[in-house]
Amino acid sequence: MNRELPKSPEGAPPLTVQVWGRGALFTRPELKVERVTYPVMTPTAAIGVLEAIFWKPEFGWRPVAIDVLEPIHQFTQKRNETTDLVMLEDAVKHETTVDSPGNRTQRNSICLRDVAYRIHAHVELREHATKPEAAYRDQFRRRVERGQCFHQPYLGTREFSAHFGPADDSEPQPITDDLGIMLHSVHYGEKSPSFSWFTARLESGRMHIPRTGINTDAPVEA
Amino acid sequence: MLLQRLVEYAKQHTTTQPFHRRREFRWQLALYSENHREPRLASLVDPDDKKSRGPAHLTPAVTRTVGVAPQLGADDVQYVLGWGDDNTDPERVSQCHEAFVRLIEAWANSAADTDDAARVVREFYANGGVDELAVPQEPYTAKQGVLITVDEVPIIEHESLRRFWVQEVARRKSGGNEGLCLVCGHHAPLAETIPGKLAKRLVPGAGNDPALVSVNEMVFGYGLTKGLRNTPICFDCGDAVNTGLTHLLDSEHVVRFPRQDSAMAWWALGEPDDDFLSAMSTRPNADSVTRLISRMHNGQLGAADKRAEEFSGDRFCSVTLGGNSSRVVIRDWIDRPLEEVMINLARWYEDVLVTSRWEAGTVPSGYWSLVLATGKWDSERRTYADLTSNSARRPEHVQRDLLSSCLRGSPLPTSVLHHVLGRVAADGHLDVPRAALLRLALRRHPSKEVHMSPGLNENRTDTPYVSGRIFAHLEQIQYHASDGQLNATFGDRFLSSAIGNPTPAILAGEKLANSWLAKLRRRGDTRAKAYALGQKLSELHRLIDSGHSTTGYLSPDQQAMFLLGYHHQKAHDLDEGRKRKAEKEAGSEPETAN
Repeated sequence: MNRELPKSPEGAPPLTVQVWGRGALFTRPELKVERVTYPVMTPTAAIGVLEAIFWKPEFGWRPVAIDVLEPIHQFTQKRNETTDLVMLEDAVKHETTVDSPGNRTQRNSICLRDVAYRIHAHVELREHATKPEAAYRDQFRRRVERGQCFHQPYLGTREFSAHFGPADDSEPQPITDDLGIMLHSVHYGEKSPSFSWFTARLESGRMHIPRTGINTDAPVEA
Repeated sequence: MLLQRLVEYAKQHTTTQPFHRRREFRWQLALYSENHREPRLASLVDPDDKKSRGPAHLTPAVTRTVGVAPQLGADDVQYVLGWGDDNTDPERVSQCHEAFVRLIEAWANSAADTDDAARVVREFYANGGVDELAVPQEPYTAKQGVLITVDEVPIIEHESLRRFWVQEVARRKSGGNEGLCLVCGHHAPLAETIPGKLAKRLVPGAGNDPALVSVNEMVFGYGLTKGLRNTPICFDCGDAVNTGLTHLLDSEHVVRFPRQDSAMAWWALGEPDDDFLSAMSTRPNADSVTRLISRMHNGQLGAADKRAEEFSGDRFCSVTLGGNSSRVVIRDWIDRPLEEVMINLARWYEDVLVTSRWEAGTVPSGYWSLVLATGKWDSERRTYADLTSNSARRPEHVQRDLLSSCLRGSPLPTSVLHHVLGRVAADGHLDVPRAALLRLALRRHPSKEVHMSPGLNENRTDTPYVSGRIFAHLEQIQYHASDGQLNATFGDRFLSSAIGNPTPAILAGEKLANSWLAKLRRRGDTRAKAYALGQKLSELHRLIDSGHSTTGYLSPDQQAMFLLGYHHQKAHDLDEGRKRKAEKEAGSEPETAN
């Protein structure tokens, strides 16, 4: 099944890791105040999981596909949150006190229940990388085998921690659906961050992720 | 996909002008192009109709929060006339009026050459027309709506005003950015905030007119930003989302019961058939339901479902939403192939089929009656507490719990079963909708598969179900012994306590039954009946599995089985009685004829 996925410049198939958890919340940007999740893990959430397992400044992760391994079920939760957030510079100066009860706000979330995904991703070396791509791939595989991670991965939000392990050969769920426009990546520049997007579609349980997304600021070609 | 679907819906089903909204107007500021006719302020409300808020018009409207932001051509009294009331700050009223006049002038200047009405309105304000208006005798408030007309035609209907309004909204709401719209995927001018809100009355639980997309606090936005900077949505889509959702929530395709925390609006892409439309109704037609179930059984729906899974353009969409102050909370969003939802509906109606005491065969319960049955039973009026009642004790989320289970085909939350059991025990009342809810809870158990027939299953031997049947039979014996002349039945006395643990009630009933049967045996005409009733009681006892004969305290599932056994037996006995009566009447007819 992985034959159809794009290979790395060295000709290697993508690395795979399987993640699962009791809940997940991949917030849609248009419905992010009273949160509504995408039905599928987003590429940025997949990068977060991969970096939690293995991160080095010498390379970056490029997810190419995500398989949905469990049926899509939702649940809702309502939480007390606060709108009183202290800016970093104010916190450093000890100028601001936090008044959470006085700034309480209740927010609802539609989340996913009992999820499992198989992430397919490539290692992309940066200019200052000192080792070949294969070395990082091997390190990643060893870490997945041992269950090692820098911090516990999570599925969209930190409340939903994820378990991970080597990929098995379970078939993706037979789901085909349009998911709308999905966040592809976030680009941090000197000014405010910019975003790129892609039109997401789940095809027989697999979501393919293009190499690059459509930049918000650039005109879209028909 | 919710926003995309709403925009598609708005484009197909609405013809609303952009950035307009329906609003009631209490007053009319009537201006005339002929000089001899004086401007006047007239009431649009019938003085005899105290509930009337005036006629509704589709008027230019854009989100207004705390700032001064006039709408064009028709607005509040404080904006159009500059008149305040006891609750308004005179300085702010003055600011509102000045802003409104400036906006009118800007429109008039752009259209005075082509639109005579624009010239009339401009001259009215420029010549101090408001000061010369006679203050009406009827009381007014600063926030009542005033509609400006010229020669009895509202100026909000003028094309020049509508064109100007679109430009004005773009000026106010745009951050000057262009980019990719998340909804339509096109490069277009992006909105800084969504230019419109839903009416408060359409969204249960909303404190103010709520917005579906709103990032009005720093912590809500990516990177601690307010507004839609990191949520690119273009003007057209922003307006279409509001227009589409308003149209849906105001349509007949909405399920909104009083005192519930949400409303559900649904629509279909494609051509749903009549059976589907009837089944989606809160009070469905029984024939349509029967046809839908039989189509599922003969495989028609199943085959269609498989085809739909491969590819089908026919889809069912529903959004369940509630209010959280001035924000809209999406509580559920379904976007599935239409055929899949039809199968779920057919399964749902099959799961709520139960026998009735008042007619033969099984009857389906509509959604409205199921929600109604979760409320308190008024034994004096012989009806359920009204849906609007404060004291009905219905859970505020029962509507969406049931709808979600129905449309998704998912298990029913256990809270519904607990609530219905509690209500039956408290009210001592069990009827078709409540029995349907109990059967539904068993058939859609979250963790195990429970088989429960819609009517009496005489082969069933589990103790709670048979105990329910015995309880009903004891009631039947008492009825016959007393010739129906009873103030309080055995059920009235013992049902509430028997739900939790039927053993004491049945033991008490056995002792009483001896007296009841003896009374029947003493009378010559009922001696045979006494024998038959006694035999039946013994048969029911023999049905109970001797290895698990004692009941003790019942779990919620067992309590539901007990009540269904009770309901099924009663419905069966009454049906048998009807049959005997019909046979008797049929047998006596020839004699009567002779």
